[in-house]
Amino acid sequence: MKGVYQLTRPALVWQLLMVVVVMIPHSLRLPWWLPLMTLGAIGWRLLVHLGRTSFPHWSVKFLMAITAGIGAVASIGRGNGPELAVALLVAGFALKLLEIYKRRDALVLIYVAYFLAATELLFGQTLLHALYVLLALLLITAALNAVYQSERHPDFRRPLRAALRLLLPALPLMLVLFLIVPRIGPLWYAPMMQEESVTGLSDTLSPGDVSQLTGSSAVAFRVEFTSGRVPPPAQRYWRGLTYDYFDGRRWQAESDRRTPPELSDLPSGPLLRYQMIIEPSGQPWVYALDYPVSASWPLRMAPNWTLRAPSRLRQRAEFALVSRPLDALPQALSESAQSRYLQLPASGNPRARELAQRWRDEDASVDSLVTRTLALFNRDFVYTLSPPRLGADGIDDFLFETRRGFCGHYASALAFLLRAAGVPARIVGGYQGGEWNPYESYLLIRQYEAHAWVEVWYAGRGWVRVDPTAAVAPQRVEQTADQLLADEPGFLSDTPLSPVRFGRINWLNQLRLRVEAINYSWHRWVLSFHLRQDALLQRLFGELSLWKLALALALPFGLVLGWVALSLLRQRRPKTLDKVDSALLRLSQRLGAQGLGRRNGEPVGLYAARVAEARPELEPLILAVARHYDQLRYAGHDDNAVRRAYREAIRACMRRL
Amino acid sequence: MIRQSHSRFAAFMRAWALRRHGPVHSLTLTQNRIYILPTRAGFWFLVTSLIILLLGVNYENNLVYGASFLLLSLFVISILHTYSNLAGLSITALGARPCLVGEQAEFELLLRAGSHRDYEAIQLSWVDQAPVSCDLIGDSERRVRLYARAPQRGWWRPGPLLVETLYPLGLLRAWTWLETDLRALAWPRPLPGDSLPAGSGSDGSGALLDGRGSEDFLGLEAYQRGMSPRHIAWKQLAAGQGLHAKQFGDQADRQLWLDFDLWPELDSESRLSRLCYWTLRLARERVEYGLRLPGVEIPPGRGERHRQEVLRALALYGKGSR
Repeated sequence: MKGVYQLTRPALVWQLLMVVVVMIPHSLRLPWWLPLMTLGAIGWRLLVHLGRTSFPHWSVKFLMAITAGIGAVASIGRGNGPELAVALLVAGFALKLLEIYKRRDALVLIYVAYFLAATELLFGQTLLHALYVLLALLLITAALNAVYQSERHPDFRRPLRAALRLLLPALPLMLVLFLIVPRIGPLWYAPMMQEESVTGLSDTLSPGDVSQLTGSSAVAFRVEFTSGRVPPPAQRYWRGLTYDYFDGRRWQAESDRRTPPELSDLPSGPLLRYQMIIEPSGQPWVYALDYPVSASWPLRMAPNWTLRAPSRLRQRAEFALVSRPLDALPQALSESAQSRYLQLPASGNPRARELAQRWRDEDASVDSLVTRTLALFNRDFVYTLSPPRLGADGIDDFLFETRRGFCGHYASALAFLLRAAGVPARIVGGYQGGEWNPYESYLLIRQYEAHAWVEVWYAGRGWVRVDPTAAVAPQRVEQTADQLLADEPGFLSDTPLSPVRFGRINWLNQLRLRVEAINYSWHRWVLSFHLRQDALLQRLFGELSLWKLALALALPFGLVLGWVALSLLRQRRPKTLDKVDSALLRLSQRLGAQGLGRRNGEPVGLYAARVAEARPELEPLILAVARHYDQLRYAGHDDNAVRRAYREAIRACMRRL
Repeated sequence: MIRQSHSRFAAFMRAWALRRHGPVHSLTLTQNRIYILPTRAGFWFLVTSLIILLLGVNYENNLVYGASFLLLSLFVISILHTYSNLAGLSITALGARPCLVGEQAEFELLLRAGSHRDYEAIQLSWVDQAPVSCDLIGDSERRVRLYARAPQRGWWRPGPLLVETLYPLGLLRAWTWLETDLRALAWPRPLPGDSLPAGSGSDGSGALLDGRGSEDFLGLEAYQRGMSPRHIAWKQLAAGQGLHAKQFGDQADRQLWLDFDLWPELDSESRLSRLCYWTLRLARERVEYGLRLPGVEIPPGRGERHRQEVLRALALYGKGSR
C-alpha cells in the first residue's frame, strides 16, 4: 500500500538547508572535521540528486560511521558526556544524509534536527541564541512540511508559508505552557555542558591576580533591591571570601568548615533585601553586602561571615539575600582565631616588619597604625593597573621601591603591616561598586569591579572595614571602575570592543544600558523563570489550585485554537481579479439587482445576449462590452484603445441602469 | 501480531463509520464524518518533544522547556490544519466505465473545494487499493480517476472509499470512509477458444471464420478508435491522407450467432466467458454477430453500441436486471 516515496526537489533542498542551519552553531564547538564531514555529505547528496554520482555503498557508510564514532570519542573524550552525545548525533545526522530517499529516512533526519536544535540551548542562552533556535525550528518545520507536500505541486516557498502559519499560533500556546506547567527538579545528575571554567576571584591572592579581572567586562552578577533602598556607591562592598593565610608571596583563602557564626550578636538596624542573579563562576562564593544576616537555601554562612553555595557555581543561580549595613562586625576572637589572623611567615619582607615594629613602639593603638599606613599610601603612592613586577620580598618592594599598584597591593601591604604590628587583620576579596541600570532598576557588577580590601579587628568593636585603595584613589570607590580606569592600558584588554569602552559617548551608553536592561529581564523572566514561577502564578491567580491552573491552561488554548479553526475554515483564496474582470463583475452585480445576474460559468457572450433580450435598450452597449471583452481576453487585442472602449461601454451601461 | 490487531481495529473503525452513514452520490465532509488520530510519525514526534522536555528538566533550562512546549503546541495546531485539509471538501461520484473481470475498472470522482480553500495532498483509495493523491491548489474542482479490480461478473461496487490526508506535517491522519453509489459493470473474463464450432453461421453452412476475415477489399473508411490497428491504411497515412481503415467485404456479408449452447462441454460461467471472448474478437474484426442466451436474443449487428449491448447481456446473465 505504501510505495517507495521519492523526495521531491523542494523537500530535499529544505532538508539540506535545515541541516546547515542546525549545524552552524554546533560546529563552533565540535571537532573541526565534523562540520567538514557534514559539508561533504551535503555535497555528495546534491551530486546524487543531480545524477552525477550514486549513494555510497553500505560498506563505505559503515566505515565512515565507525571512523566518525572513534574520531568523536578520541577528540572529545568520554568524560564530556553531552558534548560527545551531540558530536555523535551530528555525525549520525551527516551520514544519514547519504541515505535519505524514503519518507521515513527523511523523518528520522528531521526529528534529530529538532532535537539538535534544542540542545543548542544548553550551550548558550542569550536572547540571540533563543531567536536563532526559533528560526531553526521554523526551517525544520518547513522541511517537515515539504516532505508531505503534494508531489504534483512541488514548490519551494509554500513549505515556509505553511510552517509560519503553524508556528505563529503555536507561540502563544507555548507561552501559556511555559507559564503554567510546573517545573520539577532534575531527575538525575546531569553532567554540565560548559567545561570547568573559573572566572572571577580565585582562592589565592597574589598582587597581580586582580589585574586579570580588570581585563574583562564580563558580568559577575546582577542585583535587584527589593527593600527599595539602594546603597550609595561608596558602600557597595560585596564580600565574597577572606584571605587569611600568607605564605610570603600569596594569600590563601580560609578553608575550614566550622559551625556558622551566631547571628544574634548583630545589633539591630535597617535591613537591605535583595535578589541576586550570579553568573557561573566555577567557585562557591556568593557576594553579599556587609553583612549578610540571612540567605535563601541552599546558601551557607561561613565563620568569616561570607556566603557559600553548596557546590561550585556552574550554572547561573539566583539567591534572595538580606544584609544589615554595619560599620563593624562585632565578633569575639578566640585564641586560635586570633593567632590565625596574626599569622605571618617566619621570615621575609624585613623592612616592612621593621616599619610595623617601629610604628607599634611609638603608638600601639589600632587606629594610629591604620592611619599611619593610609597616610603613607596617600603621600606618593600611585594607583595603576599595570604595576612593575615585584621581587621575592613583594611587600618590601611595593612599600619602599615601586610604590605603584592596585587594590591587591595595597590590601596585602596593609594587612601585612597590621599583622606584623600585632593587630589581627584579613584581606577580603569581592567586588566594589556596580552600574545602576535605570531602565530595569538593578545593579550590574562586572568582573573588572573585582576588589580587595582589609578587615581589621578592633578589641571591643570587632571587624572594621578599611579600604586602603580609597586612600590612594578615592575615585575608585566613588566612581565606577570604567570611568576611573578607562585610560589604563590593562583595562578591558581582553575585550577590546566592549561597549563599556565607549561609555563616554552618551547615546551609545544609553543604548548599551537598554540592551543590558533587556538582557536582565531575559535572565530574570526567562532563564530563571523556574525560580519565580510560583510567586508569579500566585500574584496572578491568588491561592493556587488545580482547577485554576487547568482553567488558565484551557482558556487561552480554547481562544487560540478557536481563532485558528475559524481562520482556517473561513480562509478564502485572495481574489485576483484584474481591472477587466472586476469592471464586468460590477456591471453584472448591478444587473443582478434587477434579476439579470451572470450565472455560474456562463460565458460573457451568452450572458450579453440574454441581457440584450431582456433589456432591448441595452442591446448595443452590452454587446459592445462582450465584444471588447472577447477581444481583450481571447483575441489578443489587449491594447489601450480596446481597454478604453471596454471601460466606456461598461460605464455607459451603468448609466443606463 | 500488533499489525494484525491494528488492521482488525481499522476494519472495525471502517465498519462502524460506514454503519453510521449510507451510500451517497455526493457528500461534503464535515465534522461528523472526519476522524482524526495521530500517526506513528506523530507518536515519534511527541516522543522527541518529551525527550527535549526531559533535557530541559534535567538541566533546569527554561529555554529547552520552551522549545519542547513549542513542539507540543505545534502538534496541537497541526490537528486543526490536518482536519481543515478535509473539512468542507465535496466529493461527487461521477461514474464508472465497464471492464472485464480481473481488469481495473475506472471510476471518476469530482472533488470540489469548499469556500475556495486550498486542499493539498489528499489521498483517495478504495479498500486495499493503491491510493491516488490529488490537490486542489488554485482551482476549485478537479476530476479524479480511481481504479479497482473487478472481482466478479455483473454489477459490482468498489467498496467504501477512503479519503485521507497527512498534510501538513504528517503527525496526524484525518480520514473518512464513505460508501458511494458508484457501481461498475464487469463483463465476463474472456476465455479464448480458437474457432467457433459448427452451427454458428446464420446460413447454417457451418463455415468457420478464419479469424482474419480480410479477403475482399472494399474501400476505405475513416479510422475510429476501437478499430483493429491491423486494418489501418498505412500507405494512405504515409501519403498524408489521414488515418483510414480498410474495409473488407467478407465481414459485411457474414452473420454469426453467438449461442449459449455452442459449447455444451462447458459450465455456464465458462460459456459466458467464451462468448465474451468471441464478442470482443468479432467486434474487433467487424463481423456482424448476434447473441442468443436463454431468454435473451440480440439480433446480429455491428458497432460499439451493439458490442456494449451484447457484453452487458453477458455480464448480467442470470443476475437479474439490477
